[in-house]
Amino acid sequence: MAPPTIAPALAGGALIGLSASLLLMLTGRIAGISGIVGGLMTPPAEARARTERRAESAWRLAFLIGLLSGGVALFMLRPESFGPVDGAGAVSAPLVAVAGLLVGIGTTLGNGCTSGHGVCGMSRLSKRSIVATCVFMATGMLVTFAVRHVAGGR
Amino acid sequence: MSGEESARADDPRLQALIAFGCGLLFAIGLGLAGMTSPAKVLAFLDVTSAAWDPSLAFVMAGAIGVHFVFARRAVAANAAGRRPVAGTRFFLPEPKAVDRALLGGAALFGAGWGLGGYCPGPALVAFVVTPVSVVFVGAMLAGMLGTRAVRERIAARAADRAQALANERALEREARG
Repeated sequence: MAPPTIAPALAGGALIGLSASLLLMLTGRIAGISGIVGGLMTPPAEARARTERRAESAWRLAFLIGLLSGGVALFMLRPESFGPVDGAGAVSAPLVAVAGLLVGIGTTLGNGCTSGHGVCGMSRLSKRSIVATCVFMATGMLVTFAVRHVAGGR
Repeated sequence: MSGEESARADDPRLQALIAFGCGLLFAIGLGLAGMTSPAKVLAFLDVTSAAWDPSLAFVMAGAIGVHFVFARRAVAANAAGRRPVAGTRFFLPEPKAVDRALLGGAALFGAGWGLGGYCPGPALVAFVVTPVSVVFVGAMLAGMLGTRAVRERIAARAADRAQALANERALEREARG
């Protein structure tokens, strides 16, 4: 069993909050990851002109490139960020594919994920985001329980 | 063209540069916090286990602790008609009622999170690092695209039906008088 890591969790969370705050105060945008990705697939209705659409895609792509680059930096400086080196607690690939599909469908229907609802929406005390966060935390815990304790581990 | 001359407050290039920096910072935050480790996420969601790891609750606490202050400022600035430093306006979501799509979507998202241990941000951060996140991101993008396609088709069909009904009514009126 891995020990809790409360201080890095708080510090990492503060950096996430800082990033969302900078993006909002400087560009006026919400740092919701599923929304940023989704906006690349269907341009928001208000961006009609071609130049607007291009600018709309540009900041979204730039944010994603930043995320991926951050992953590379983490891998070089702190590889343990991606999980235990011995692969303990790893999930099988078919199960991961189902998980990804559910996350894609769910975040599109529900208009947000852990960042958009859990951090940005909750910070604005949005009722929809508070409800959504309670629901996804509950089903997340329920499914983890079912897989680990009812189905008998992975 | 010199940098200073072209540096309009809402220059798309400046916005992209800021977004890149924010994405980088966001990724470092997720990694430091432990969100990029599916094992850590599942140990957090496994609340009934004796080995329950509460750490990740503090990620949300830290993030909201900081963002709460700035989100309030953004809402106030928006209400006062001010613009963000390098943007045309604040893109704050309109208040909407809780509906079935939100509840169902959040439930499905949580189920996927509990099954794989990844939510969208951390999966993208891990994308170039761990092969399993490539599987996850591929499936996630397919789910997003598929849901959008189905939703558009349903909307188009509803519009068609409304149009057909209007035509029928117009014909009936013509026939009658």
